[in-house]
Amino acid sequence: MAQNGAGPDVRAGRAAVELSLRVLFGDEFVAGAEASFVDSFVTSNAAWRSTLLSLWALSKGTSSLPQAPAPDPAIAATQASVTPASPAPAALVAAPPVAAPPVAAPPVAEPPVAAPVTEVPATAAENGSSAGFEVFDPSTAAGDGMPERREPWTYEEVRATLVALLEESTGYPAEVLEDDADLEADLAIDSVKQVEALAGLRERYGLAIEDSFTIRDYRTIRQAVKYMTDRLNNERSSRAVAP
Amino acid sequence: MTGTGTTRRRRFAERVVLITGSSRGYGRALARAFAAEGAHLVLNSHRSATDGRDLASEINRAGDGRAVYVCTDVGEEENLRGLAGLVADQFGRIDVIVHNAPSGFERPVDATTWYEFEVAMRVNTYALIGLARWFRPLFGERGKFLYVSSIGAERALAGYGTIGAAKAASEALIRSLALEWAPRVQANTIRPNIISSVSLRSFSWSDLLWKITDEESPLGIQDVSRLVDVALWMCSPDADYVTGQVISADGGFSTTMCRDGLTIQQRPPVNGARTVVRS
Repeated sequence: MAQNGAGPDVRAGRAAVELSLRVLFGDEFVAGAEASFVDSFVTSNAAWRSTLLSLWALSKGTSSLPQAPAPDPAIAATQASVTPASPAPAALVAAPPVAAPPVAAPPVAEPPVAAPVTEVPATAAENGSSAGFEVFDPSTAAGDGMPERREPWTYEEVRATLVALLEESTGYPAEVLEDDADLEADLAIDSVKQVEALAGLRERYGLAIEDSFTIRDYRTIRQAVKYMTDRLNNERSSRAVAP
Repeated sequence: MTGTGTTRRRRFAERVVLITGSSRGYGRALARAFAAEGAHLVLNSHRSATDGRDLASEINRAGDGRAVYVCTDVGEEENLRGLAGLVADQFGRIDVIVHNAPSGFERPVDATTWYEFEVAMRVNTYALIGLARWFRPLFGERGKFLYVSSIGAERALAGYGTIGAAKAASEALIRSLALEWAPRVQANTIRPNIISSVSLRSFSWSDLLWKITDEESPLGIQDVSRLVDVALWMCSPDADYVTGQVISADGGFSTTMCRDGLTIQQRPPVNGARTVVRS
């Protein structure tokens, strides 16, 4: 196995790596890349795996390169602005943006010059009709809006939903999202994206957050799907149990 | 879960409390604590409606007060106007506002687009101005306005520059609000220590920050209920004489540099946050 700073085998390996990266990304990219980044391809198959997956995603226009250091900060900024949901360096604090940023941000409406003391807040009737403003009052709500369901939830249907979410956020093809692959180690899906996908899955099925939940307990698609399916059948299929 | 006193307190009975960003994490824990002391809650989040509805239902079942959940983006002023209208219609007044909703992008400053900075500013800072503007007529006597900031408002964390800047701006606004609204309403900032939450995991360095914070805080990382206790005190009549302040509920983390030489030696070498977090 190659060791850092060792003999001719490593150098030959590194030359091959550099050539491959040149073919994939161009001379300029390799010239600007940090040595440790290039070295990671000499010693790690995972680096190849994640890079090729990212490249595939990039070719589909759904992602940008996750680990590749940009040779020019201006390019990094441009990439980030085109794909705000891109991996690691572009992690979003709260949740992913729903759309690419507008080229020109719309101007914020000018506040009235007069002090707002005389202004009145909108009435409920006014805001009730507004998109992006949804009120939930448990004392009057009939339910949580989720469809009724009698038959048990199956592993396969929950899996399909999760895979669709992961496809969307990573740009990976469904085939590589294998049930027992480690999301982080094998598929280079970082914890930010894992959290997003699982939160999206909960939202889709109307399952609230659990105080004890930690993402580390669900490292594979199989573990995550099993967790969700069990919860669905415990919490959302009580009607099926009732006579 | 809430309150460390031996007797259950009722400092917020019949008080109307709005918490932005309260479906998960610190905001959720705050909401439960206010509810346990009798408050009516107006809950809010933007992208986690299931969690928000769940919490509203839970509080309505268990709490003495009512709870309503509003799914909306507080980064849009029109939505804050709507929120104030809803509170006016349903409760007739507001007693406590906690602005806890965060947003932004983990980015180096020199890789941040104006759009991304604006997202952080809108939710953290513009929203604070909007809340002040639209809810001001609804405040009665001894009202409380609390902004939830973080240590990132004062110290640099990798990739947190624009969010920290937004938080620092909000802290400055809070000081001005405290001046403008005296003596009717007290406005303060709390900087809680980190807690285990979805938001924390949104950062690539969450594991490293957890380790450092736990090691360097004289009181270590504590259960969220201890951080909630401080916020509730700041919003209670006990803190009527506290205004315009920034209070760190951080177990002393922000006051120390090197708690224990031995701990430092045992720590793995830090070559960069991402390297360690990924390992």
